Amino acid sequence: MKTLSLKLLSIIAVVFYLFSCSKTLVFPDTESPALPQLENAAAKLLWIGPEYKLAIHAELEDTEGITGVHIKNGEWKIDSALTVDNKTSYTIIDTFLVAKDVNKTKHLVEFTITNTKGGIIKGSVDVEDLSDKNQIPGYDPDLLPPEIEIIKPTVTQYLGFSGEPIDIDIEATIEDEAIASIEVRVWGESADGQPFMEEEIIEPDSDEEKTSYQYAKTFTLPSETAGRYQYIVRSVDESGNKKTVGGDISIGFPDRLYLSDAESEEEVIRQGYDHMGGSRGIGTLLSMEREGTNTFALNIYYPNKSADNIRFIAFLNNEKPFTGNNQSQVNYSLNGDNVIAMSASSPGNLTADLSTASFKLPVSASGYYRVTVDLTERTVRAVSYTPNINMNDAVKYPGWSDAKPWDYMAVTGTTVVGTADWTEKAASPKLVRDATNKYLFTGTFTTNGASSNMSLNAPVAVLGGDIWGKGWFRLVAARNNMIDDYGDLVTIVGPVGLSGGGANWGFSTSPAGTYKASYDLALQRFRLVRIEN
Amino acid sequence: MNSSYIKFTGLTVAIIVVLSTFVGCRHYLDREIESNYREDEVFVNYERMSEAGYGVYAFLFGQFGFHRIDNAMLASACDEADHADINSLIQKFNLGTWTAVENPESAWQHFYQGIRRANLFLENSINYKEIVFRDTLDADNKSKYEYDVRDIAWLRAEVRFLRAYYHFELIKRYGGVPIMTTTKYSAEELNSLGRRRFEECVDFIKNECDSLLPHLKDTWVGFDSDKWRGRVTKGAALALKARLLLYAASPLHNPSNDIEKWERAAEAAHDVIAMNRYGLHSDYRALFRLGNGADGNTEVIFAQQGWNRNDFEKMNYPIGYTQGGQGSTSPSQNLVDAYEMKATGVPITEPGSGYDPQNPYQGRDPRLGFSILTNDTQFKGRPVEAWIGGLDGLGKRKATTTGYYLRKFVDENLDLARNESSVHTWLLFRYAEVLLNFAEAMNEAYGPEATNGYSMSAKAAVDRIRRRTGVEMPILPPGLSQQEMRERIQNERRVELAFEEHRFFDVRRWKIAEETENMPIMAMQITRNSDGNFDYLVVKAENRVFEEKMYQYPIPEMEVLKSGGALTQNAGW
Repeated sequence: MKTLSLKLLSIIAVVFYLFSCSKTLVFPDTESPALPQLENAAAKLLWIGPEYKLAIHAELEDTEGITGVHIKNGEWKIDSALTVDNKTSYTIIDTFLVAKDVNKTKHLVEFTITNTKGGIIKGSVDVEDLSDKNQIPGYDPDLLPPEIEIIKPTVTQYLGFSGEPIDIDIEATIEDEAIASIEVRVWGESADGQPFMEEEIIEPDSDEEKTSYQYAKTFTLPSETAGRYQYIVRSVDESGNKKTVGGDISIGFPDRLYLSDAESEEEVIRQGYDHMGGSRGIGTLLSMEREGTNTFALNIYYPNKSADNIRFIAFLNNEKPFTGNNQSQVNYSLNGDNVIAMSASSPGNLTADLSTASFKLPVSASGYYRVTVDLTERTVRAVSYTPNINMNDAVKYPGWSDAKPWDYMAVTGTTVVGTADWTEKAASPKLVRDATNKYLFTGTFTTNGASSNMSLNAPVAVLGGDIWGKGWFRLVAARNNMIDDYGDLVTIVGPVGLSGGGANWGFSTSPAGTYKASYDLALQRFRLVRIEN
Repeated sequence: MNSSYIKFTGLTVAIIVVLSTFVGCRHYLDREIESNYREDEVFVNYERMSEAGYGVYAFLFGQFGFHRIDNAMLASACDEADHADINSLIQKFNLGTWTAVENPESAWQHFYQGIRRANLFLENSINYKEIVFRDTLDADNKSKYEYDVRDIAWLRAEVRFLRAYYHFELIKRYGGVPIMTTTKYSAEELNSLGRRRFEECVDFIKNECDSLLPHLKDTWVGFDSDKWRGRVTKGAALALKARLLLYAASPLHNPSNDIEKWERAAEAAHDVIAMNRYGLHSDYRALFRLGNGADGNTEVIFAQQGWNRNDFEKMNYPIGYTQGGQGSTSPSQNLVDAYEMKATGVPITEPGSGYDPQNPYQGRDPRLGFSILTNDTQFKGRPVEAWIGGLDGLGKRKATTTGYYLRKFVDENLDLARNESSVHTWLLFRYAEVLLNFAEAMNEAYGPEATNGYSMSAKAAVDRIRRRTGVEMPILPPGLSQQEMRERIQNERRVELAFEEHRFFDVRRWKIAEETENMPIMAMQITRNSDGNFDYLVVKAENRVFEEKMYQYPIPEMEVLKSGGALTQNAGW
């Protein structure tokens, strides 16, 4: 029943549909209704003076009357609607400012024309590119910005430890067909937030200055604290072309910082030098690791004695504490203008006035410390720590226990007076354990030759007869693989266990003579100062 | 490839397949498939529970990366590229015909599924120590117990990260969305969940990043024989927060230009920089072909773990190569023009830049050649012939529509005729983006060259990217105004992050899409002369349509209808 009803309904619907469409449709046998016509359309890309323009000409016709025209071009972002007020003919003459084509480009301009009956046609026209030649005869624009050559500053990094104002010379040559203005600016701020800004704007008068201007001026920057500054020389020519050059100036941001514990200048000059490696690292200067933008740190053992002489030595750019590829020459002193130390009156702060400085860390007890120097804040901090080394390795530290640490370490090597052999002898010089620091051994030894292959050894008594298999302290790695925080070669003496362990090579000293020595097991620091020839 | 990566990757792929089965067959014939675990059978031991957690990673696939929208890259839906297949759904974006009913990118469903999976895991693994303990009563398993407990603790933090990340991907597209932190909604409650304000969503994601951070690992490299490489790290959480706050500070979401938002974005980006864990890779081109070792690279913060495949090469090798390329992603002239001149470091449009229209690819920013195959470039043993009539040239079926082919991500060394394949990973967060996020936020907050106590200025951050080994573009000139720096940063992002799914969203958050995305896609028509030289003519490849409403996606119509008015549609849709 349901199916039958549906069928009936369908038939009725079809009949009704046919009936409703039975009115004869009459299609005109004449031509199509008139549509708007686009005629004589042209679009030209022109270079007129400094500008690029799209010039459009088009004639529109429509017997019904034109209501509007839409002109579009996507890449030039042209989207312009014109109202035509039902005219039967209309001529478009229009120009649009456009961007210069950096590449040769095919452009189309699209027209959408609407008539009063709603008739729409779309048409387009290719743009003829006539922009190779300027429409103004003789127009020769200056398209290039001024040339600026910075002559000074040649130095842009300063330590500024003295706190004296720093003069920055800025010299530049500016050249152009016609310079309109020159702006020189130095600005920035100190680490404590003090802004600095000085600016000079020059508009050259004479024809000579307009084509070539020599600029020179000294700007004075504060240096009581660290600071970062910039300088620019900017010039605009009369065609509006602009160029800016400049750079950074930093005060108080060294590239390297070292800690010196040399007790005197003599200990600087005579500090240990490994002539086989052409490297330091066994002397009185230690590189500090950069921890932050202007913060440096390292671990040291601080003896807290009257002879303490802790100073921080800073270097800029590629300057280093040693000259020569083999680090043979010392390049600093303890009283240079790159030296900073603790303030006597305020030990947590740093001062470059060494006459008012203290050379002791701001702590009251000997021990291991993490020393952190903040050169932005100009502060020093020492935080005590307990060395965490595994002394249970019976090959590296045979016979060692906290209850019974070694009494000494023997200095061995064929050039070592008293040893004259590879292993400990009865007369071997000994570095004796410090009374308060079980990891520290001090003493002296004498060598009778420069070329050497020396070692430190655990006391022969703890080796159980295995003199080659345990307790050797030699180079921890091949010489080319031992570098400090700044990539310079250093010599590092450490526990290698058996005599053939590590890089299987001993350290050397140079030249022959008597050395004051200390070795720190916790820091693997071998500190040498030659005290007699 | 390190075989140990395979486990996590293989697991991920397997999980995708299983999840697809779950989703696709949920009501299939209304019967249970016995091989599937019920929820109460999953959270009973470490293995099943952890797999449920790793399953949340599966939603990193499908909505990021290679030709994912009907074989097209998202780059083809913005001014970076054109997709050669005119019938691909991606074209709806370009024609302006996408709607609340038909959006080529079904992100809503995908990410909410991922969020639900995350919530299921987080809710059911709360008592993970007890669950794991039940499974390891044997005293010999003490170390396994500790390992498993620690792993689930990490995994819970990772899943929270993923849930936050999926929420971010939603707000990036839709604006404020419902925040889902539980599965325990009734059907009624679920349908009546309303949208949260964009700022509320930002706060939620940010707070999640902050609170889960301590529970994430620094790195998975070197841990447990590298078995878990690719999992979320602290760096990823910080990078997500940085990106999130940048979006929140951008004009689309910060119309009053609240400077504090930019300050917060700068701080968040600098938190990643200050980790001192990341840097720029020395080989820009190789960066995108690192395979599953990507997370061991200093630049990669978080990446999908991939698998061996060659479909991307099949889609993108130029068509003239006998091994069968389809040239689907055709980089636009618009993008090519954005690469500056290497010698002068200025845009090609500037007088004195050194640009030669007759040799348009000579002397350009090296990243152009690393990212885009231009005419006459050596590729697989012969020069690319993108000229009319050339082997790879315009006019051939499936040939480039722009005169360019994609090079970034493409493995040039595959022999497709022998079906060779290689691992493809999609980088989700990398350090260069963090530097650019920082630069943009710093410029807006403090100006181009101020450091405000941070380790670098906006300019220095951009310069770092420009000076990458192998790229070595001149640094930016000093003394740029804030507006000039803004333009340089925007261009640097366009170039450095090309095809990495940033530009599509960048032009939206900058609110410049009505300008950039209504520009036609331009192509280079190349003619080879009888002397072997080429003539270059820029022509229009395609008009594009972008309307104001398209700054945000429409909420899917079905979701709006189901919600009974609780979910309000975005304006204009």
